[in-house]
Amino acid sequence: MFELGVLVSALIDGLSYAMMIFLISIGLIIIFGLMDVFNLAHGAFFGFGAYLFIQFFLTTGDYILSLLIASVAGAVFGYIVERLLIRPLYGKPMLQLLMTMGLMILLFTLFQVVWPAGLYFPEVNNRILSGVYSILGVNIRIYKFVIIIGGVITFIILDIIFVRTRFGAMLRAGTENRELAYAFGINIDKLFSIAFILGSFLAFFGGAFVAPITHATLEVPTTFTLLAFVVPVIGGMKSYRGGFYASLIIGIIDRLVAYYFTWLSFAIDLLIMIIVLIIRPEGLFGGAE
Amino acid sequence: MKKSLANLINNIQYNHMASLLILTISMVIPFYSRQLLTGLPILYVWALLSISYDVVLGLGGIPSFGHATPFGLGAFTVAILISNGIPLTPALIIGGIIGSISYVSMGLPAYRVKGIYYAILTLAIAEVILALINNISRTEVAITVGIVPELLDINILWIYVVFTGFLTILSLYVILIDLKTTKIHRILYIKIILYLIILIIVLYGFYYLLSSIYNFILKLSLGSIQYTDFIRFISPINRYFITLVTLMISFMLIYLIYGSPVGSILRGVRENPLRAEVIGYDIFRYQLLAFSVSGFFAGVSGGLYLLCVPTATLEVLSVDKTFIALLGTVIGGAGTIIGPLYGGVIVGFLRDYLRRIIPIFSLYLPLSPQQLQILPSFILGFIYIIIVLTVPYGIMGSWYYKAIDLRRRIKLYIYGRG
Repeated sequence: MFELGVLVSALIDGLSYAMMIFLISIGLIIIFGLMDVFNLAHGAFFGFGAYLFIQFFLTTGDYILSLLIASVAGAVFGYIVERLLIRPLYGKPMLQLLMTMGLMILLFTLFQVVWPAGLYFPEVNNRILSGVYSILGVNIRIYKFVIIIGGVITFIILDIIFVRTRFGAMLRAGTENRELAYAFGINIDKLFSIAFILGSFLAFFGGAFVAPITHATLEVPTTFTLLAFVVPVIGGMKSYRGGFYASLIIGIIDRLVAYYFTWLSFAIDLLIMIIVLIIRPEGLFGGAE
Repeated sequence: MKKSLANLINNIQYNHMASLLILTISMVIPFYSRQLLTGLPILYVWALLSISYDVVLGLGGIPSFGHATPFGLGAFTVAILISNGIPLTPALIIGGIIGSISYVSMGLPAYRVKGIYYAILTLAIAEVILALINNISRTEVAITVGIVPELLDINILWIYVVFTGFLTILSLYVILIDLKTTKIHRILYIKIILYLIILIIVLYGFYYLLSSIYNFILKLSLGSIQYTDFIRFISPINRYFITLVTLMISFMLIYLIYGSPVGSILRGVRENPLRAEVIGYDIFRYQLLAFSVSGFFAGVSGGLYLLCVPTATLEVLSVDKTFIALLGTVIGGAGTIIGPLYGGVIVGFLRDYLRRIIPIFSLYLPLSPQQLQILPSFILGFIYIIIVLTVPYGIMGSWYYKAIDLRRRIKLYIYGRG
């Protein structure tokens, strides 16, 4: 049962899964950290990215272009949602929850109306996108390595932005203490918009980036919605780095369980989350930063 | 005699009277058309689901997105019990208790987990239960109830007739007393017109009821009725009666809780948890109480759902059911209890109505039946978002909290100046 090949495959699967989860949850953490808006619809954003990406890929056949279009669509979508739906409800947390819950349902039904059968990424004549690589007798999709590398690069870029740039400093200041940041002359309203757009952009980009493996069915947004909630809870609601570590933990545990105890898969993540919520509501990595 | 009558008159409150009249109308209204008779029970199920949700969201102020769980578990419990030959009433109560237990255990983490975290947690737990059942069973989970014996019980039909007759007479009596004691002319005219409309509806409906049942009995006594016709006549009427009466009893019980000291304490906890705690209330215990009440009635509504849709599938546990409860509560006005009652009916009506008019759109839109089926939910999602943005207090909430000026003006018009 514990063959080495299967274990390696499970680990690589877990790492790529962790990167997928990281890509979706980082936007959630940015938005929640700065604005205290918990975007329940964030997983639906992720799914939306996947759908759009495959739709464009099927029409254009160009991978980079489709990724770009889907990500930009995410930024635009984020701007519209922030302006129309979130902005009128600042300072009313209950209504924001109800609103994002409604948005989530709306997007889920939208997917079912527009793409009832889901969209599947086609087999293409490209080794990176569709090829497999054989380790110890187990075939592994090469694209999984792409996802791992892409996820790590995204993390590094975001880390540099948050730590080194002026924008990152403003973002961290706003997260730490909104009133004080406002008093020091940071335009909080504008920052909120940018943060929401950034979060939405990352969600759409993530969805598009992982779509060659996950495809775009209703299962993607429903699964990743909940996984996206798990990560901030475990990693600490406002901690970017905690989110990365939590994604790694969750991704690897989830895949190992899925390989060896199939019936418990998916439930395990939420069980971990429930336990962490009850034992340490502020998250395992929260607080320190 | 004179004095006791005066006492009675003084004690009539207009909202009680309105409830009586609305109840009487809803008892006779299904005999106007068969569509109402078959279509209304499911609306009552959604209304019950919404008012049970209001206990947690509106009265307790706890954002729980796992309301499908007590509903679904209640539905499954009742399905299993009924298909094993247990009568409906105990089955509904046991279903309610199961719903209550499940919701209380979902509420236990609320001791440490608050606000947004709790919303996430409940959404997650509901999904975990669904995923676990899905993973373990591997096949389609479905329990078919068939025709519940109570739906063919002719005694329930008699109770229906007697009860409706009693309500009709009572309404007549109350209307007469109210008209007799009204002294201001302007109000009298308005009331006469209003009551006349109501009376016409009630009396005609009662007449239809009597005539259709008379025909039925005539056929039954002649023995010329087919068994299928017998089922087709009696089961919708009994289903209507059972759902309506259950909704009414549940509403009254929840209404009592809203008005009781416990209700006031819960409202206090909702408005300011810290203060309530400092005063000395054990917040957590009261919140668990709200969960148990809410779960009980959600479970009962799950059982009633089975009378309308006789197969319990995993769909009863899906987030869609939570959304119906949420939509009903938000449309009606969270925390107003009467609002979610109307809200649930409105949501059910919209779903039903949209589903019926959607085929017209299919002529213009290139959509498959599968897509058309989900379209009503999509439109409802839009309606929900617009309501959250524009009338966040809902219909009744806006009426209570926002329309003070309007209400004063109406009062001024009716009673005149001074």
